[in-house]
Amino acid sequence: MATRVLIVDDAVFMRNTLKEIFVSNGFEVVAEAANGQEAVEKYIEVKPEVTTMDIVMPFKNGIDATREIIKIDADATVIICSALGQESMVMEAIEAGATDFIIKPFKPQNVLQVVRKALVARN
Amino acid sequence: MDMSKYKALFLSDTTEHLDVLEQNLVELESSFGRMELIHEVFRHLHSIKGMASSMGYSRMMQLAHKLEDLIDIHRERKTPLCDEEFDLLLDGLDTLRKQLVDIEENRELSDPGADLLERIQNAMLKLNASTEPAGIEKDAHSTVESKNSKPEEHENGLLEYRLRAVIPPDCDAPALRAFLAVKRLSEIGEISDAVPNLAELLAGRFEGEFIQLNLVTDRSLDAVRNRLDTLSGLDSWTVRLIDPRTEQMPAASSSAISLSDQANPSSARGAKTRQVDTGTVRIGSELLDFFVDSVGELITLRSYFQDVAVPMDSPALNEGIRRLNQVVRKLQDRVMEVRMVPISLLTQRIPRVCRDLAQKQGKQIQVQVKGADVKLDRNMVESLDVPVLHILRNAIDHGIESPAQRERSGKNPQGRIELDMKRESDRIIMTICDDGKGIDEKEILRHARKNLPDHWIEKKIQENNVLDLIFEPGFSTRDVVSDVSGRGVGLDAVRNTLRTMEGHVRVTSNPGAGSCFILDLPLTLAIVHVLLVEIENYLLALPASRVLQVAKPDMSRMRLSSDENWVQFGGTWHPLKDLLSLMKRQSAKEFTRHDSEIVLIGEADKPIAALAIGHISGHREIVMKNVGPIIRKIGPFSGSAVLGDGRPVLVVDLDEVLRRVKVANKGMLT
Repeated sequence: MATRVLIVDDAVFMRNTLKEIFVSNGFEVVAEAANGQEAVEKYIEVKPEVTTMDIVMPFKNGIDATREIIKIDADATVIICSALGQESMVMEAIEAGATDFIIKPFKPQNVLQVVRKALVARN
Repeated sequence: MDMSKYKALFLSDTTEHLDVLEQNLVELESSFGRMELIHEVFRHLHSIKGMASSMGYSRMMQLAHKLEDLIDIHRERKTPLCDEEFDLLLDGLDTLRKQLVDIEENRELSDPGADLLERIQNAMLKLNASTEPAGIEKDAHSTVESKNSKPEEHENGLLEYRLRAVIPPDCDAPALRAFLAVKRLSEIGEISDAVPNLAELLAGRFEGEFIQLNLVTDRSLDAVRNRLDTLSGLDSWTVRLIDPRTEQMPAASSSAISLSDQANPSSARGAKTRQVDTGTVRIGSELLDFFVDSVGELITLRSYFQDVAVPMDSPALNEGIRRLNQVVRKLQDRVMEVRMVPISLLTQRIPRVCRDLAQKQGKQIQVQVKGADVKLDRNMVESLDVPVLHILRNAIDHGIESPAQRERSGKNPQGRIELDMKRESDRIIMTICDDGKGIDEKEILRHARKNLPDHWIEKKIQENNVLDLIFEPGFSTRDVVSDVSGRGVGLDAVRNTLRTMEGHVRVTSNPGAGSCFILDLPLTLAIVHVLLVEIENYLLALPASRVLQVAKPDMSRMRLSSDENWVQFGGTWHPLKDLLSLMKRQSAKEFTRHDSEIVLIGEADKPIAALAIGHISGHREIVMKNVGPIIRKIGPFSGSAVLGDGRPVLVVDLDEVLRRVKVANKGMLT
């Protein structure tokens, strides 16, 4: 069965880029969210195996959203999506429980490598 | 045995011991006899004595021995040193340094002088009439050395592994990869002996490429391997079980020459330096500069080939460029690394200098230096020497009050100066703070009105930046020129030096509680990462270190009106400005650049404004050259460069642009 993914990013462009990478590599994108608040709600609703999480978003940022998701599900696999220069925020997100991270602009092979390794860790 | 081949090692080791010794002494003096410092001082003197005697430098050995005996009495009795003894020890240290220079220059060693030796002898006699006469070796000292062979006993079932991994410096974010690896590994065990050290790794400071650490855990080798398998970004890794009793870190074991007792095993810095020393060659700094220039030219040439190759679309050419790119990048990283030196080269003398200055002024001052392991371009460390000392002199001379005054205002009679260095992405932030009387704005204005043109003063008042006036040429806050500061050279010299380094300085003050000077510097001067932007008919370069985000937001994320414009980035609204209008100092007019790309710029990750910058046509690493006064007059430019295709480009001084934004924002809010 295809791995189920939740994509969280406030930019449609970014969501579409990730979606394209996932779908063309046999993953199933089960939901998308445009901010941290929505991310937590969607997470509870669809229980994805992998969540990709942008950091800087309106209403609730990715770090807080990650923290809440981990509180709900300690085994959640959350991959942080970050731009270069946001190192300290990524570190904070890892402290909050994120599994791994990818750096924008996305290279498909990096995204897939990180997600696959995270899934190995999960099993 | 011929010891001459060990001379270089002896010189560098002894210098290091002397440097630490000096720091320890000054710290000891201001901390009222902390015992562990007395042990440290004793240990360094003992090491110096041992090394000097193995090398046959008997005069040096004698002096170190005398000093060691003196401190030994306090070590055994657990008593603090008196002022006279501190002076003696520091004088002795200065003589040891002189002797070291003599050795380096193959001269006969300076005689410490009967006077100094006699003073030490008298001090000892005063302390203890029954002290053993100097000159007899004591073996008891070796116990203090306690070599680092102490076996680590692990409780039943715990195993220790040695892990080595490669994190390529050109991967997305090597520091984050290392951070994540350390985090994930510490979930299954305890990490020790990490290279680079654990604190650095956890602070996100790592530039690639090797990482090594020991992991004590109850997991099996397979379990550790499985954990490593789940870590992304590790290019290759090895793990093996080790026996902690027989293994030593290579850093410690590489000081193979047993000139003396093992140096401080707990000092990672000492161990690291020694490791480097065993295979070093000295080269002249001109040669190093030549390498940097050549790498700069290589980078320009690479850009040229990249541009030329685009229309040709030849796979063979592209492959060649790709490989060239790899080589250039590696070379650039290494050359830059060679130029980087720890800022401690500058800061280690500071406690001593401050002590001497304070003594002259009859003030008591404690100096604390933090972040001395931050690395900076060698040239910049040298150029920083004068401005930093100037600021410190100012703090001691004008800032810190006399002990009596301090007591009257309810402060600790001992003043404090704190130096703190931090790296923030491509920049180094150095703060020099004192807890003195601070700077009085009214006083500044009074003096400024005497010495500076009115319109300068009005401008600063308008910018709410009166303190900045102290950096203006011709400004002086003290009518009486003191012995140590002043002398006609004001803080404007500090500002000018900083400017030539692409840095800037500002000051904050809390009247009654102290002042802080904040120096903001680039890591290196030579090669800068820039965004190339085309706006109207201009081609400009923006230093990438100041650009936090780039976007082309649609109209729904902009609020435009006739006098103020806003744009939304990641949920926050920022004032939107037009780069060209700011540069030309044109007052705000209707925003017309709707199709422009917008960059968010700021200082140290804090966004300050969004700028419409036209169209981004690429990003480059450029070799920045200074611009002369004529170009500076044209607009806010900090440098220039030649692109691969031969086109010249000017680098925008974003600090100045940010300043103009702040002024404009202020107008907008009031």
